[in-house]
Amino acid sequence: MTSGTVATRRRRHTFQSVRWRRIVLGGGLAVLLLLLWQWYSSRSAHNIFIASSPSRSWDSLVALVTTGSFWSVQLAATAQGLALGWSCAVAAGLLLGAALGYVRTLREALEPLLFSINCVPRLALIPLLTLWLGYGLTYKAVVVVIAGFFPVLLNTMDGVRRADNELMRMSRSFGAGPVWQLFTVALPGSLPSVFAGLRQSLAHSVVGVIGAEIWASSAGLGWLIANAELQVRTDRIIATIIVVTVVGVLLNETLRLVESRCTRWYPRERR
Amino acid sequence: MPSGDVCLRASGVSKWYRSGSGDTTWALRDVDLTVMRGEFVSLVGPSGCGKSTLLNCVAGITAYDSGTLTLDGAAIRGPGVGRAVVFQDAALLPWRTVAANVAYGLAVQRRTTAAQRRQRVEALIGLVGLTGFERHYPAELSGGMRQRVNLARALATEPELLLMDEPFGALDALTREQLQLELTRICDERRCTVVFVTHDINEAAFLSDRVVVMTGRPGAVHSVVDVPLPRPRRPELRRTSAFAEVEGQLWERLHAQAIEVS
Repeated sequence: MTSGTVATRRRRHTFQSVRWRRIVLGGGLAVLLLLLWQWYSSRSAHNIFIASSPSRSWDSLVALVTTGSFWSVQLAATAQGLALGWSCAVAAGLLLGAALGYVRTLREALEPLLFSINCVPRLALIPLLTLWLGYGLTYKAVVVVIAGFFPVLLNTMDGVRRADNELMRMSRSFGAGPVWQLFTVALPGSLPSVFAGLRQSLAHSVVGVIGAEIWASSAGLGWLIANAELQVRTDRIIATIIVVTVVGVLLNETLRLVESRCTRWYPRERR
Repeated sequence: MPSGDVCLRASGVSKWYRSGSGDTTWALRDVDLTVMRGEFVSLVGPSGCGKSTLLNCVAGITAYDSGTLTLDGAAIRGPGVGRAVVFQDAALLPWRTVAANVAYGLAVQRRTTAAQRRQRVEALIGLVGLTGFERHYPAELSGGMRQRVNLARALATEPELLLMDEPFGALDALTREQLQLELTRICDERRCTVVFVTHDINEAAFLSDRVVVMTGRPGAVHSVVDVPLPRPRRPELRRTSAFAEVEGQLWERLHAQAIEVS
């Protein structure tokens, strides 16, 4: 007990000083780069036209997020596409992943096909999809599905497939059939792997929805970027990129929170 | 003590594997064994003698290739509600709490209501001395505590026959003796019928009514040793001459076959 407390205290102490170093070094570098950027753009009108500046981008960001239509139209459009597409990708990935991980025949039949499809560069499909689907919600959602499906599928499949043999035997010894074994042993055991897939999938999905909107759309964060490009408003492009990044970080952190809730049982050293 | 009726009967049970070159390896060959109701029978023997295989056949999670294996006169063809296994490495579901793990077998068998289950789980957690740990996860428990949960999970289904596969083999000596003591107490209380696999002679002598000594390659019954020691078994028993005599008999038989093999 006592030695444990001492160790914890020591670790916390080191952790704190490490954190301070990080704040000073990392933050210091960031500030330095921003100052350099500001200095560069202040040197000529051409520079500020091409590179914008931190202060301009900041002004643009403030203008952007204080406009009502930014939230109700642009962010809403992106959120819709992302939500619809990601939930479809997750549902399909989980179902098919669990089935493929669990049923060997199915896996052997479908794996070669799926692996080949996985090798198709996603971006190259976008023009095809606009031809087929136009540039509405369906199109965005389908791009997101294509971007986010495989990480969920592959990780779920892997997690279910590597179900602990001894636990499966234990379950069977009490008379559990394959379905019970799947739901009480294989699936819960695959959760850490599934969550790794979900996080990867979410990151790909954000890239997917923004990419889809940049290519063709009538509203959304990606549309804002494309539109700002047409008007050569570097500051607005940068402001929107900052928004996209913040959204991505928030989504990722939320998912992390859900994950730590769901996998509290998982031995800490393996996290 | 045994009331006279047969619980488990094995006659001529064999299990073999065919290797790639077509040779047959016998895991079990013509095993005959009878376990009476209320009896505690241990299977001892060198590693690879098929004692765990036999246990798995009785549990119904390994298929045997010939012979008959009956529980209360009915042939064993798979897992069934009358049997429960206590596993070597605890085999607890890491995402379930102690209470949920103890309830697992009951939940799978769907013979009880949630309320009955809760009541039985609570009683069993008390029986194995884990009150207060209901909401802990397996990763937070010691090896000995995990085996207690393992035992409670099996007992929760109220099996006619309890199958234990070297459950204390990986524990330190002190914890092992403590758990052996509690196991005999629980078995006396509940009049359990137990088949217990171990390679520890001392453990077999301390717990059993009869000890089946097995030989390896092919796995078969070498001989059966009766353990005429009084119950309840107490820790002091280990230092009596009667105990030493049983242990000596077992030792001799195990070593006799070791010499036969070499």
